[in-house]
Amino acid sequence: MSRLTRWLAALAALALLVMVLAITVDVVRANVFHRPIKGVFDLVSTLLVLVVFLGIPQTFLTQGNVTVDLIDRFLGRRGVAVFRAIAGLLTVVFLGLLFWHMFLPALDTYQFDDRKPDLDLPIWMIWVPVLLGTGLALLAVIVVIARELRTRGGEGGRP
Amino acid sequence: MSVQSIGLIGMGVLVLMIFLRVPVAISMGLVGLCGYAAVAGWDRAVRVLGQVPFDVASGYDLSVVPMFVLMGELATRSGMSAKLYNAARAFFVGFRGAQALATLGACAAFGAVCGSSLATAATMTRIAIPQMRRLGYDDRLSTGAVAAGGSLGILIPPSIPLVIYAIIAEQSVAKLFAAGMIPGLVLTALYMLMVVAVLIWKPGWAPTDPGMSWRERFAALGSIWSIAILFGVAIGGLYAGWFTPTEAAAIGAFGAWGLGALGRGLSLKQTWAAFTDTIRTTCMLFMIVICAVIFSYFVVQTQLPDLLVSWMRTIELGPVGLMLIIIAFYVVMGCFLDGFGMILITVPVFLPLIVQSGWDPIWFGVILVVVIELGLIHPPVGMNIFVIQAQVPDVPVLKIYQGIIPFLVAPFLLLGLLLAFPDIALWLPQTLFPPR
Repeated sequence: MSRLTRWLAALAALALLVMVLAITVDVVRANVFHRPIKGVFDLVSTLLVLVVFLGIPQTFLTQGNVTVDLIDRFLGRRGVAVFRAIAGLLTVVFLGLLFWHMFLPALDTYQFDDRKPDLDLPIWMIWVPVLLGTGLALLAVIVVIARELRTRGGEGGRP
Repeated sequence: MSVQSIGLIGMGVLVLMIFLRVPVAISMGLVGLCGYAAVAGWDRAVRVLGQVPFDVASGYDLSVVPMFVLMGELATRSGMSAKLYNAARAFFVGFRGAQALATLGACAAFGAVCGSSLATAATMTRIAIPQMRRLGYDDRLSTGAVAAGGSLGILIPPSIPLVIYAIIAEQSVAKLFAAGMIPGLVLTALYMLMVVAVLIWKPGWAPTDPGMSWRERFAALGSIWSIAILFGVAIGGLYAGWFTPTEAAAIGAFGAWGLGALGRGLSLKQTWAAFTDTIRTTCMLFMIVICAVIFSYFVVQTQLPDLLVSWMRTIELGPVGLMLIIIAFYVVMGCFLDGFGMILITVPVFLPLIVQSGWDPIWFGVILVVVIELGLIHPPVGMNIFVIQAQVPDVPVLKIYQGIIPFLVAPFLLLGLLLAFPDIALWLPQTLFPPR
């Protein structure tokens, strides 16, 4: 799992690199040669989807989301574990609902054959990384919860 | 049940969830979804849920976020901070506490290429604290100066919190970046005054400066031309209207990489690390923004902002009184919440009220960033303090807390100045971008 999410995050980094280069080249061409690149606007907004959604499985796997841990000092280790488990379950619920309810708008863009105006790119294609990233993020949270339960179980089993 | 009651319950549940360790983004997303469903029905709520993430992540304007983060990450790794520190020292040769003053100057200058406080504090800790320790500075002064200086990273443009505020408040990034500039310089000067004041009170905390020859001074100043050009082109170009914020961010990131690579400060490995760290930060920020947008759909439906406006009218609080209450609220919230969460949860609720009472939303963006800065350096959370402590683990946190106390005065002074003279923030954007 972690290898897959790392690879996807690397793809997201590549998308960011292409975004920076495309805009820089476009600015230079537009200002110096008065010939901007057609479709940069579409390209950048498409690449941003890749940057965000190919990166989020890794964020969830490494638990990189902002969490306020003020109560930790008042709870024991056990208490923290309980609250982490609850937070994990709520995250699963949210990502699950998100994943499920994304299919409808994605299908709409396929049925109506919506396209990016300048690049003529079918929008359903951009939905693919969105669904992939969200689905894998959901899986990543489940993996994290399972891993924590296993280590907890292991600890509990020792005398 | 009235929609306002549902709104208030939603707010309460949100705060509770955040304190019970549910990630800020997930808390906002779930409360937003369920609250919206309670007001407008489940079908409409899930339609918003399914569509918002795609809309947010495919918004061209939002591409400034990863590119400005990348610019800061590359600048952090390229050895710029050491050059800036030496150049800033050239200005304060011979003063008692020259290194502490130079740290603040270098932080301000680094803030001009980096939009993150934590990154500024982290890179300056590595450069400045070992130098100050070698010269016999008290740890309280050196860590306090770095923590305070680090916070300048988000006020002096580029600034990630100002970009996030621009998105949620639907304001111009260019105007906000112009508005942050002069308050950032004023705050730098105020922090420097605090160093001088501390050294009058405790002269033993810093030795006299060992000095620098004129030759060294000119060499140090000469070494930062490239950083000045980077800021001049990226942010200057934005001010001059040559670029959109997205273009400025791309030019800035490309320039930071080019300067790092040419100056041999950036290896391929470090460049890659800058990219992957940027992806991590970007995803974390986008999760929060996506969920905040879902949450703001709910807030609008609850009419809570209208309720707040009419309530404020009945108690007849003037605009200054209102702003003092809001600032006090943020200072208290800043003790517990992180800055981005704070902006995203509260701005949709407060902004209509603030605009109604006559305050400029651009000016308010600057006020917000100053209170976030305070939250970054004041106990108990104070992320900058933890960033520093992680790198100099032999300095107890309590000592850093003691060191930061005098510096806490400066942001409060700045808030007072901004309230009394809003033009400190508004003059530059009004001059650069006059209303047509």
